[in-house]
Amino acid sequence: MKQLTTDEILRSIHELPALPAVVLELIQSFSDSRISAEQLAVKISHDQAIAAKTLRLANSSFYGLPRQVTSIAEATAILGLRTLRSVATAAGLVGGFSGVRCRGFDFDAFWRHSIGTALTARALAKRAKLDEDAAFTLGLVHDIGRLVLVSSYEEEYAQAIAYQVEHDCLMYAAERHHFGVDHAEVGGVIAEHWHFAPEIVAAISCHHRPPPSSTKSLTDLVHVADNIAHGLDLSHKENDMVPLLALESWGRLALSDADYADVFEVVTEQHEVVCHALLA
Amino acid sequence: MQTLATTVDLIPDGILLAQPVLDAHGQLLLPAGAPITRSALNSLQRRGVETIFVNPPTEAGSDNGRANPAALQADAEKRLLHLFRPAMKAGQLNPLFHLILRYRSVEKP
Repeated sequence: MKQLTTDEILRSIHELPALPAVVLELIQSFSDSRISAEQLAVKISHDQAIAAKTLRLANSSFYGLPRQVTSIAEATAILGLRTLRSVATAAGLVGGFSGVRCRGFDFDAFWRHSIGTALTARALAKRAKLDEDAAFTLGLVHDIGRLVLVSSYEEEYAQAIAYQVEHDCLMYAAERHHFGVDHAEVGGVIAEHWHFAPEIVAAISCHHRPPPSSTKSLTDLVHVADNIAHGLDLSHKENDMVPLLALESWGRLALSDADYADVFEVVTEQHEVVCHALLA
Repeated sequence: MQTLATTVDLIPDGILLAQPVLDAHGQLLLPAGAPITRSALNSLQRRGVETIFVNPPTEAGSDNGRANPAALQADAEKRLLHLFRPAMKAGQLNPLFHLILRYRSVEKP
């Protein structure tokens, strides 16, 4: 067993498969209102693989565009700056890290869950009147700490997975047992190091333990979205489990049963299409 | 598995697509393996899709191509009890359990 310190977590960043520079810039720019559509289009277009995947997702039935778009500039004009930013972030992030080998870790299930959480967070945000595009991106990256652990400590993480299976406990409990920290805390440290917006950092690090608050936040949103994505069985993992729900977060979102029924319907309908566009 | 070509009007809820559905421009609307819901069918019909390929109904929740609500609910409840086992072990009441169970059990209008 290992007790990870913040310094060790930060050192492990150097062992990570590099995230495309444009993805980091896109996530960092969520709190930057000065970025222009032209600047964004140029950034995305510079990475051909991301640009191609962005267009595939933009042209999928998820966005239901009236016609096919063939350039990032055109997609920006039709989808708008903020939405294109979240689409391109998804295109650049999803499916990455596939070169990492860790016994028992299912990358396909990981990304299916992350995409499901992103779609759920976006649908909840619309109804809770929070930032839909930030919610979508946050859903995609909320478990980034897991990728860090899997990439940097493959053998130890394989042991944590074996412990989780043996004890049928939540993965974050197995991580704490093996590393002294869990993926949420690790993700928060990494996100801060990458200069993600403060509300994104807070939501990543607290998505399993939302702090007391008098107002609803992205942390509440991703916590509930994570629960729903597990509950809707979107990862297709036989032994998946729904983490404990913080009823305070549930209460702060203050959504109705009808809202949740709509969210389930929308997410179930969109999930396969988006997985196909991003994971194919 | 054998597949069955069928008209969109006759599909019961929850059945799986055997082949992807494309629109007239070749754009993917739904991939193979996607579960068919009532809203997905409505969306396909709005886009002019009349025929899709689905896997024949063999699950307990289907009977001669029609959904059996009691069997659907029993299947859904069994799976949800498995997924929500941390809350069950902790004695926590998770409101999502019943909302998702209702969503999974009730045939969509």
